[in-house]
Amino acid sequence: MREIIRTEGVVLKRRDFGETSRVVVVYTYRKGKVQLLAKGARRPKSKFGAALEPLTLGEYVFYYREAKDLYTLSEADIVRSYQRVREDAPRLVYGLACVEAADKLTRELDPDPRSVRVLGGALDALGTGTSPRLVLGHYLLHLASGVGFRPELITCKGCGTVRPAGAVTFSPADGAIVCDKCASGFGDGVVLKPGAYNLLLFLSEVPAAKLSRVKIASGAAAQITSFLLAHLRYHTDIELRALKSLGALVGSG
Amino acid sequence: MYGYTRLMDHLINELTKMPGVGRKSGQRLAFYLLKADDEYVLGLADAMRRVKEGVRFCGECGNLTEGDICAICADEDRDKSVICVVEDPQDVQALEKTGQYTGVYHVLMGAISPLDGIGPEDLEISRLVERVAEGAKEVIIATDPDVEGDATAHYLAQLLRPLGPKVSRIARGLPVGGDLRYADEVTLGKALAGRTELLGSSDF
Repeated sequence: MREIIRTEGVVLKRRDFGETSRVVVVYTYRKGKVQLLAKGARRPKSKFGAALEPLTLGEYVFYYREAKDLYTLSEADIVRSYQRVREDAPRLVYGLACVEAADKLTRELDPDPRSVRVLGGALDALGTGTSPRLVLGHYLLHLASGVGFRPELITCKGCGTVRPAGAVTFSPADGAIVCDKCASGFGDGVVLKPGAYNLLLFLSEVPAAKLSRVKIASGAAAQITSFLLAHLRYHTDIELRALKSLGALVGSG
Repeated sequence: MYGYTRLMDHLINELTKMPGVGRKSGQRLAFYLLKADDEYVLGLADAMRRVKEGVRFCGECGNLTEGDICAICADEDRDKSVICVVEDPQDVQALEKTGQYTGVYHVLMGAISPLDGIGPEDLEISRLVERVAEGAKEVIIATDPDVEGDATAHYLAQLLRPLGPKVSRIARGLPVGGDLRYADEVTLGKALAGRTELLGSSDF
């Protein structure tokens, strides 16, 4: 029997299919990441409209047919279009970096409603006055945790000191921090100044909605984002093309 | 299992490399060509060869041409101080059909697509900057109304504004013949934002 699924989700990416159709990758609450065939989506009068654009939170109705590799999309409605994110270059870049990271770090048909909620929270935060770089840092931290690469931020890997004072070094190979005293025994790592370290601890404990209240020291958000990208690169080999190809637009963020 | 013949299989394989042509369509086209008049088939082959040999990109704007410069760039009556930036040569044709544009074009050969790894360096942007610096008064960005088109428009606006021209983007809204009640809120919002004043009857 044909299963009809109705669920909300965030559009991660899409590609053209045939002359007039598209395949859309949506991170949904009920099914996890799915590929949906949207027939006729490229026609000007398509019923799907802007609901298939990346960075859109929408409600999607789709079904699966035997002998087809893809789900077929039958309805799509926009829940949030995140226009403010689209209309501001740095926010667009960081928003695309968020959906790209979600796409690269999640598996198809592996439902994880919390991760979808975290992504939606990041896009919500990008639409406010919050530093977009801080939002990306927060999102990468929670995404890494959700997919099994949570960095150990509380306890020093070398001596077990909890929340060590001063600068800490993060060892990507160990996935954990080491305190200043133990750092020499752990090879190369990313040094986090006290401000960045404390911010990281804070980010690990709060939802994205609270980021607008955060006052950050210059460079701390950049340091955190670099650290998290290095951590993810070490463990998963991912590179975020969005940041690379549109770096010129981002500025100091 | 036997195929058709070696030559037919080869033709079908080549046809299925075309966009939107699957195995069955490839077979259908191959049999059509097999049954068609010699004159038509040889004429088609010759037309394809001549296009490959004779069509190139305009040295000025990137549009298709059979000389060094396309017909639009060579036209003395076109306003060279207004440049409309499009993604592909097909977009030039679409805009020309309106009959309402009298400036010139610049074809980017794509759009910035961060998720596909296509950055500004992959597009024909440096020549655009040169053309604008030569004294363009207005740049109309006519990239697609999607996330790639938005990213490209942001990038170009940031790059070109310091050079002095007015930088605008074509309006977005409802398609003619469309049904307002079925329009999504993004399209409808853009249509409202880009609304125009109705002309009086004497202006019609």
